[in-house]
Amino acid sequence: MAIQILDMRMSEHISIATDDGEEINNGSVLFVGDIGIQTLAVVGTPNQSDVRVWLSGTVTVHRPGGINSPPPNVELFITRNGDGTPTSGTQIYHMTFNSGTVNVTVSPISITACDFPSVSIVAAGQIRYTLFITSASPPGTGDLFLFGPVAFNGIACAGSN
Amino acid sequence: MCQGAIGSSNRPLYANPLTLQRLFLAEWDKPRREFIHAEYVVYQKGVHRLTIQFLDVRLSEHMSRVVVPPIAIDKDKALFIGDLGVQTLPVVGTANQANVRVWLSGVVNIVRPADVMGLTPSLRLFIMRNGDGTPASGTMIYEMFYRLGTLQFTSSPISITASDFPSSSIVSQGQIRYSLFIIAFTLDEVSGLYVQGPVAFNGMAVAGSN
Repeated sequence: MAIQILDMRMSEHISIATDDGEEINNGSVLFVGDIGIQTLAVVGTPNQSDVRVWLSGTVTVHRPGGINSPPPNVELFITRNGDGTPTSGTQIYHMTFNSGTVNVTVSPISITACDFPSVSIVAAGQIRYTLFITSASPPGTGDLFLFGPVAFNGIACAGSN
Repeated sequence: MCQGAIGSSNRPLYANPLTLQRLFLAEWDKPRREFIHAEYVVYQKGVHRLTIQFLDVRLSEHMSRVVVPPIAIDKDKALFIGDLGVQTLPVVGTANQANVRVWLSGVVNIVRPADVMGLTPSLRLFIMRNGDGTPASGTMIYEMFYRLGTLQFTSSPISITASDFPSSSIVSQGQIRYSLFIIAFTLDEVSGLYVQGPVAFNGMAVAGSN
């Protein structure tokens, strides 16, 4: 069945870099992106089994100066069809970032994820994707901050010629 | 309409000055009408002008998450980490065949452990068009170097954005293959760099203009 574009959705958590940012630590998981991609156009057609979703985003983090602790891993993950909490849904993507042994950095972290949802998932007419960020640092360490910008977008396409 | 009027008359052709005049006008008008008609036909067939068309989105997900242990990047052997075929069939034989653009995008996550070897190696990422899955085949359309310097203990997602404007003859095949490779560029035996994952490589094709 011919190629169909289904939907494009965006989630812009922070559009302008913030002054101080929010600390990223292992005490909590920050909810930084959330989109619902609609698949209704293919439900009940042969293309229902041939849907692909491209997820893309950039998250900018800041590591201040005067920090002597080893840099913690930043953990980013995407869940599918969760309820907005990090342990719900199915984790479809997991990435780590580590700026290494340098201080005073601002790092835009790019993510590109793919999903090939099953027929039963597509049947619901909409697929929810949620992006979370956390780190290995204990709360209050002050070695990592979510600065922004943060954006998380998705495109869905189906079929083949 | 004029000819119908003439044909239905028993009078000799051109006898009536009015018929003559109408015929003259019709003949005078004919090239313009035919031209307009031709333009219309050409427009309808899409040879003259086409609007923007969405063609395809393809994804290649080599790794969806961080893998343990990570995969060493050697200087002698390129790793094949992305492969997709973007379809162009709807524009083949139309004016938009000459106006296809392909956006390629991906992220490759690299790890460099704390026990650094290989000093300051470079990484070379490249995209081949219409190769056979080996790094020396096809046409190189994108090449990027990445260096971490002397930094250690890093996990670095490398972002790739490439553009391709394939020629009419390439588009005519109905599908264009793009393959992504990564190799180390170092003087030392080992690069000390690893593909940690995730690795994703996607492409989107659009044609035409309004």
